[in-house]
Amino acid sequence: MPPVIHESSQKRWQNWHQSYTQKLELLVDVWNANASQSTVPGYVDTTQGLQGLIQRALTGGLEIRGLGGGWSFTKAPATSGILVNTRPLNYLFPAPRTHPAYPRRREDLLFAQCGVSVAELNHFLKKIGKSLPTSGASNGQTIAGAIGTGTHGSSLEFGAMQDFVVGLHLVVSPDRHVWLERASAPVIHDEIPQNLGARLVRDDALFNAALVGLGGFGLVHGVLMEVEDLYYLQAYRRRMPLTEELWRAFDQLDFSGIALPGPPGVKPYHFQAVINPNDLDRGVYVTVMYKHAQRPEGSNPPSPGSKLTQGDSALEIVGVLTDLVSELTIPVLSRLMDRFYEEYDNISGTHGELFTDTTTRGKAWGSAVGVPLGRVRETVELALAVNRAFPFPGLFGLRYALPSRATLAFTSHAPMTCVLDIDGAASTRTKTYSRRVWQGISQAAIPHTFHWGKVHELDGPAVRGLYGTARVDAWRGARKALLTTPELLAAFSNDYLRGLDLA
Amino acid sequence: MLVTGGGSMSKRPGWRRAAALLCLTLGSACAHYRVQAPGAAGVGATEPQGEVLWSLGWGLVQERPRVDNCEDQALAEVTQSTNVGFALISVLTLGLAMPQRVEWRCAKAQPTPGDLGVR
Ligand SMILES: Cc1cc2nc3c(=O)[nH]c(=O)nc-3n(C[C@H](O)[C@H](O)[C@H](O)COP(=O)(O)OP(=O)(O)OC[C@H]3O[C@@H](n4cnc5c(N)ncnc54)[C@H](O)[C@@H]3O)c2cc1C
Repeated sequence: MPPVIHESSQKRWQNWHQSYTQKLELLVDVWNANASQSTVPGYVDTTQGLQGLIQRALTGGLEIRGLGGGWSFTKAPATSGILVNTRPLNYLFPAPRTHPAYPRRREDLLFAQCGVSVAELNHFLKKIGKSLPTSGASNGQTIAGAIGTGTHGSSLEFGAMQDFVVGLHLVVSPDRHVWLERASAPVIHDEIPQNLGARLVRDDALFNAALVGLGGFGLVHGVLMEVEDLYYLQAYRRRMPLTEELWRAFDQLDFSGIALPGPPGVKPYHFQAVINPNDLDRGVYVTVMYKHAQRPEGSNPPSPGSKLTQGDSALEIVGVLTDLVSELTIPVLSRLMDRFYEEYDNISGTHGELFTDTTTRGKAWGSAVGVPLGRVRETVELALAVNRAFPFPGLFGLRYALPSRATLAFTSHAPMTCVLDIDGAASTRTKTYSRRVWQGISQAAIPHTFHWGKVHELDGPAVRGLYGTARVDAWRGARKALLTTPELLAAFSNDYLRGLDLA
Repeated sequence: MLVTGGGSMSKRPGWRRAAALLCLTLGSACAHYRVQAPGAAGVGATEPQGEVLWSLGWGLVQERPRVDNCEDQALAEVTQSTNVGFALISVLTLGLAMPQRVEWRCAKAQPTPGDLGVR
């Protein structure tokens, strides 16, 4: 049975944080015909439904674009043509049969339809004794949307979310859809793509490019992920003075000089900091989490119902606080931080229990710039100096990720990327402040990259300058190889890609 | 199957459509009340769909929204909003006509997991 395609009468669409409104031709919600049971025939029928939408776009000379949670602050998911809301598409297929060369167990694999949210993944994986290796701080993104911009968390032993993806099912034209994976690491049994009617393409360059695809590689219909056995994180948050030793930890992840909360001498699995630049004297918030196969004895479960949760980072805090007050000023921010972003000790939960829901829709504004280890202190000191001259009511977050193989991942720096989040209330002051920091980083010649889903002001030359011409050309080349006609390339473009000279 | 959503105001008589449009234009300052299911149940599958609903004759006639886009799923979230224009109409008509906008998102289905085949 073909999928149900609801056409909305809306001619405008807003992203989650309402930071922009986009005029469009058509907004559709796509549902599997049988939404209550994941089946291969149902999945195949939905592939055909998505192909029908691409045909419709081509016939009408329209753009077309997949929509996930709509959480991006940038116009990555926006289109003037057909916006395909994929959130209702949430079939799950655990443990598919694997390629003979695949070294791990098939139980370590999960194939999810594009609209499955991170929350749904966490929930389902826990039931089958599995876990995602990492995720962002909260869980409202869809799997396709999250990887589409390179969503990351702060695991010291893992990269960003696209780095646990090992296969992609891409619908690239009205008569072609491909199963894409790396030639250097085949994963799926050849018959599975065949059963789905997909062309099997094993190609490292194409796969790496499509991983962080910014919606420009066709409609991602399914994502094959490598997951882990269920683990527990034992978490602590402390407000710590910003000593030389803590700077060293931030700059190089060298924890030798400081006493982190939790078991002594053990390297954390997760490490992040939240810095209120206007309240430095009272220290910075450091969150550490240790990984265990079982729930550690004597630890406490996370308390449900609190406004902010254990894994929340700067953006979630700002989101909650801008929901609470009409104007987030510097003194108000500090007071609310004291009240809502509390220290805690020895709380343990699964990954999904600690990095959990955000229902806030406050007028928050988030940006994230990636710099390599070794340049972190310089970057943060620069941001603090700008704040002294031009204070803004907001927070910094520091989070870390191993380098990604995705061609345009912003978490690409070796040996590790530190992501400096600058999050504040959506205001001209926050924007001006961030712009000054970015200019400073550029003038100081610190290698850096920007999160594609958070606010940035990149254009074509800047993208080439920061990510390198080779990476940009490889990404564009892969797009051309998969979208085989000029019409398809145009259909899967949007203002965002054109502005970055990536279309 | 293709279902066209019953979008806002599409089948309203002309005067009400005009009044609602005027209010929406006037109504930049809105008050929202959002009811959202807790936790995962509150994460909507659909983009918001809405209608302007009228209560007429001091509540004697009350319109109900036509929710035809949820595919048998529950509602994840309902938002009711009013604005200066709506308030003005309510006051000027002494409550005879009271418009408000209602928007909803449908909840996600919870499909049982499947088997990709090829045992
Ligand atoms: C409250 C909040 C918290 C956040 N926390 C973090 C965080 O901790 N870490 C972090 O790195 N980022 C974070 N972000 C940013 C967010 O994770 C990214 O912007 C992410 O891409 C959003 O995912 P989404 O599902 O909402 O996708 P969308 O914003 O809807 O789309 C993102 C991109 O994916 C494409 N896409 C989506 N679905 C498909 C599909 N089926 N086929 C083809 N293309 C598709 C879109 O076209 C678009 O280009 C946060 C954002 C918010 C609002």
